[in-house]
Amino acid sequence: MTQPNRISGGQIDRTKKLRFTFDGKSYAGFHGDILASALLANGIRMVGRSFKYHRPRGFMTSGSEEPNGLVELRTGAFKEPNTRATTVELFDGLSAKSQNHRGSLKYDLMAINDLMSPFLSAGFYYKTFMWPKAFWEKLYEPAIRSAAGLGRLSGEADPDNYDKGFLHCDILVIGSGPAGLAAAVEAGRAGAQVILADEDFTFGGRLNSENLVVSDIPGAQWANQSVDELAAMPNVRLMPRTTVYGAYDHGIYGALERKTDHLATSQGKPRQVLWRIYSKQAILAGGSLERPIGFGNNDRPGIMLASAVRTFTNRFGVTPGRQVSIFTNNDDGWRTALDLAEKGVAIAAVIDTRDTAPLARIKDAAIVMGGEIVDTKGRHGLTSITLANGQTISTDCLAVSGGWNPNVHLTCHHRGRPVWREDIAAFVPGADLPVGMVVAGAANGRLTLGASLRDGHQAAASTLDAIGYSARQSKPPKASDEPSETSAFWYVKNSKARAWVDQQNDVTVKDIKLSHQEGFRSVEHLKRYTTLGMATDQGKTSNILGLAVMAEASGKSIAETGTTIFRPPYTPVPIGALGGRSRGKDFKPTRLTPSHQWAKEQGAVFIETGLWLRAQWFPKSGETHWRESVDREVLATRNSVGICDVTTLGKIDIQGKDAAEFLNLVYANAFGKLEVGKVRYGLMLREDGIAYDDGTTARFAEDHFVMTTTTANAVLVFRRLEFVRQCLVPHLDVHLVSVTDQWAQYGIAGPNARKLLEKIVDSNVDISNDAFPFMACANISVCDGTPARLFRISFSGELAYELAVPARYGDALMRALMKAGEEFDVTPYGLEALGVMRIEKGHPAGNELNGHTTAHNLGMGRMVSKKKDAIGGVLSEREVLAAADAVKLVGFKPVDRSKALVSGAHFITKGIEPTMEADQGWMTSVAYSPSLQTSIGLGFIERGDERLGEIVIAFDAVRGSTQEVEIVSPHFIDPQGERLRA
Amino acid sequence: MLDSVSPLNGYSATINEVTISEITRFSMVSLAVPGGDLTPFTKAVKQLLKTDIPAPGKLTRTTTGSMLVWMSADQYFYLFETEEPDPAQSLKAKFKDAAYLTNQSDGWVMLRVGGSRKNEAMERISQIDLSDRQFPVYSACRTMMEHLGVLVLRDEEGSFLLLTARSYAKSLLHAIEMSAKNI
Repeated sequence: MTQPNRISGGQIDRTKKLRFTFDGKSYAGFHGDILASALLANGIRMVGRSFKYHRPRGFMTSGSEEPNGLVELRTGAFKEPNTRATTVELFDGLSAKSQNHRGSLKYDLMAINDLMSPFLSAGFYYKTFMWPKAFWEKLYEPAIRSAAGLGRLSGEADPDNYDKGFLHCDILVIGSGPAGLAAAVEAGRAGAQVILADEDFTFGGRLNSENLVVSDIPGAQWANQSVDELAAMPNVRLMPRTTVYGAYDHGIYGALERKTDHLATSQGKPRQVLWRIYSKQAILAGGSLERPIGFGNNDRPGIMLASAVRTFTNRFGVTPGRQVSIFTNNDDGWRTALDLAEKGVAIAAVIDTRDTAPLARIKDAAIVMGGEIVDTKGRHGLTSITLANGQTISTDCLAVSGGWNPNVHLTCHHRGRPVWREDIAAFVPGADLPVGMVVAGAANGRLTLGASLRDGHQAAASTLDAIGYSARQSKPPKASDEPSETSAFWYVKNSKARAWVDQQNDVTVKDIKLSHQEGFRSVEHLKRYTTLGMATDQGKTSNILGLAVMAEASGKSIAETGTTIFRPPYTPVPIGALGGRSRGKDFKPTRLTPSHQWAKEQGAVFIETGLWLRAQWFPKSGETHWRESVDREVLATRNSVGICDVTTLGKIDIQGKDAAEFLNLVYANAFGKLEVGKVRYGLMLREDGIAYDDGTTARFAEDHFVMTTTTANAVLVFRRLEFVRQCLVPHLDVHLVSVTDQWAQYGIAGPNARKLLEKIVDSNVDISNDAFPFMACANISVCDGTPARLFRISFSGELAYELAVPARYGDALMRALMKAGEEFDVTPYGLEALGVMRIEKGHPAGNELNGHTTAHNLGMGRMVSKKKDAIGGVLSEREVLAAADAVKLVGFKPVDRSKALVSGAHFITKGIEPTMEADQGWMTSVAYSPSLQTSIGLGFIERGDERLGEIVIAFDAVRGSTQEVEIVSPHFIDPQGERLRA
Repeated sequence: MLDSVSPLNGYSATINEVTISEITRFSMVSLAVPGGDLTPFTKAVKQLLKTDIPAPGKLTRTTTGSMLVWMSADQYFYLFETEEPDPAQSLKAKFKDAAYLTNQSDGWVMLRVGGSRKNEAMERISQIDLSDRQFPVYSACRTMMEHLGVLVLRDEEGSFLLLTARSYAKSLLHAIEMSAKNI
């Protein structure tokens, strides 16, 4: 396993050999390699097939902007398609496969698309698949979807973990090239809290790829020294492998940290962490990206950006070819020739589009000034180039430099527009930056080393000043400014062959011209029509070239043509990372009552009600259907005694001299004269008069009430009360505290409820009917001194109490109640039995208080006091709401008692066709009543209270059922309330 | 008396140098200021609790280790040690009309998170900056962690006291454990 293209030098550790496979074949690389450099070292130039034409493709870049070198990384459920091999750190055992081919990579059956390219121009499917219409869904779309896409997902759940988090800093430095490092060092020395983030695993940016000198030492060495200094500062956090992908409001940045992607396994740790970084200031030092030049067949493996060739050579000790040529329109391209020549790599030619004097003499290299490449050859990799003058040069690697684009992406996330700078023929950040952002270095258009370092240093000084730190009066690191003259040469017009602009989406110069010809004049339309700048690279190398071609076609300048909008993320963020740890049961928290463990021990079946887990029923052995359990629980309660955990009800402690006045305002019915030691049912209305929530409120002292709310509305009611307190009646002396979690509360219902309780309450507590009648409440003690609150209220219609103890005693109280109740065959009952009994009793709940109904509808119109002001009181009197023919809450029974009622059915007069116009109301709640041995229901029907005994049709269009039902009183059980007062 | 159970049965563990332990020794009573009149309230606090009232975002500690925490306008939480079954009762008698008191001792779970890597764990769930610089000793803050309303108290060097509603105890513990494991 030799590495034929490995040469001397580079930042790799040759003592640490790593083995990996590509398309099933084994290779070796070194620690410090990326997958791309290791493949090139092994002579692998062709690594994938293009999106549309399935043309052979190799690496174009050495970074995250890579359009071609996409692979499927890892295997099985860990497989990740469309991974840029230029960003993958090599690790031992790495497995990668090429993608987007049928058959082998070398002999891809889909390569036939390339022969059909005249028919597959921009927007071809919009024009081609117009007819017959019926074919679209059945044939065309499936065929296109099958052919499109790049890598394939594993189809299995992602076995990796992800996490998220929140970081804070004074200054976030984005990018660790010369400007970023200069800025971070200056900010760190001043004592500011600094985060330095870079997408690379090695800090230093281009300094690692160039042979440049900073402060009289090699640039990479200066970068290392700077990083060492930063690492020793407690106020600096270094974040390699971290891409700052988005700029959000208030100085918040999104960042993706790749924690274990460089390791063979994550070993249970999060693979990636999504950070939200809160910064006071941010210095964007994201550098610049080199761009290509359009010319015939410029997409063959072996043709890459000149800067990438330098990176592979200088940083990774790999030569991408043995006979390298350079095609440039600027000074920078020449450095590739010089660096490679210094390493002993043969330079075949330097072709400069500018007809000026050569910048250097390079041994044995043909120097062609004012030259252009019109075509290339080499089926699976470059073998030769043909110049406009007809000269053909044998070469296996062509380094192309079309100039540099400052990385303006993040500067535009708040809708800022970059501005065109003619001297560097590139867009630079505009004035409208995200608040707190300063741009420095190459990202700011300072494209030479010395200027970049000075700019970074200055950016730190200005940001430090903005947040109150004093910058040290140090000088910026010293470096010279390398030659950087450039020219606006975009593509070779003389090329007859197709010239690629966007290699990821197979968009050519011709496609862009065609798009313009067909009327797509806006850059945004161009993008959508041709797919220029879409997919994983988002056009990082292609956008400006595409704009230049379009500008030329439209006769406008590039500045007038403008760019498409840059949006987050800068590079792809996995959905798994966005989800973080919020998967499965971790999606949301769970609330448990104090006696949850006891209920679990009884085999309770739980149901989520909001975030609470509540026992739905308690199955007993032999019961095969939930109805058996529920019927048993209802009958046992009605015949003897049952216990239900009602801890989840909202409980609000209300204190203050004006507490009664406050309750008078928030409840529709009066509370001012409620006696101490008494409880009252209360109905709350919305401002518009619609019923909002109901519950009971107990008065424990003149200035102390405890309100209960429904479980579902506990938070909403508390929030509403706070709004009323703080905004509507701030002059009242009233204070609210939620005590929902403070108390474990149990409903004890049934004819034997008092007998059971008498065994629990302490001897000094008298709960006889006379001493503690219906709607009484008191602070008492139970079980030898345990503090408790007792309320005589009933949701089931039975003789019933609610007993509350501090939550720490909840589990023990439940066990004590069950033990004390053994002699009465006490039965725990769940939410379902609770629901059955409340329907039997005719108590409204969420289905009836549904945001559409009023007190008038609910049969509680008289509760809305006319003697006082209450929220919603006036508007509940509106004519339409108080109309005599409004729907009223009543009960329903099926005429055929053996049939089950259907919730949601609509009521129609017998003999009338069921239409919307004939609709008279709807069934809200139904249950099988084991007490009455028939299905019963509650519902709203027009003038219901006047129609008891009438037979109507319950029509359910959804489930297709129609049945005759009788209108009855909603109080199926004990309508006179004798049981609950017993 | 019935047996009492703490929300997490006295949980204690160390994960990746992060110590997590349930604190059960504190009782907690909320104090509201009648009519918003801080003068008699401040006087009563000084006299009865031997401490000053804390500024917003702060807590004060007494020499006995009790804490008074600013919660919102006109509302404070008092954390203290007592054997009384109803810790609000005797305080109420002492404060008379200077405060409205409500027992909160059972409504919350308290977890102390300490250890050398506590901040690395907490930064995964805490949106607020809990660094020594921004959240020094005697800081207090109400915030959200993993959808849970959490009260964070910095009552001593080297650790945080986290409080959330008792019913969420296991969810908060799970969030902290996972954060420690994920370091």
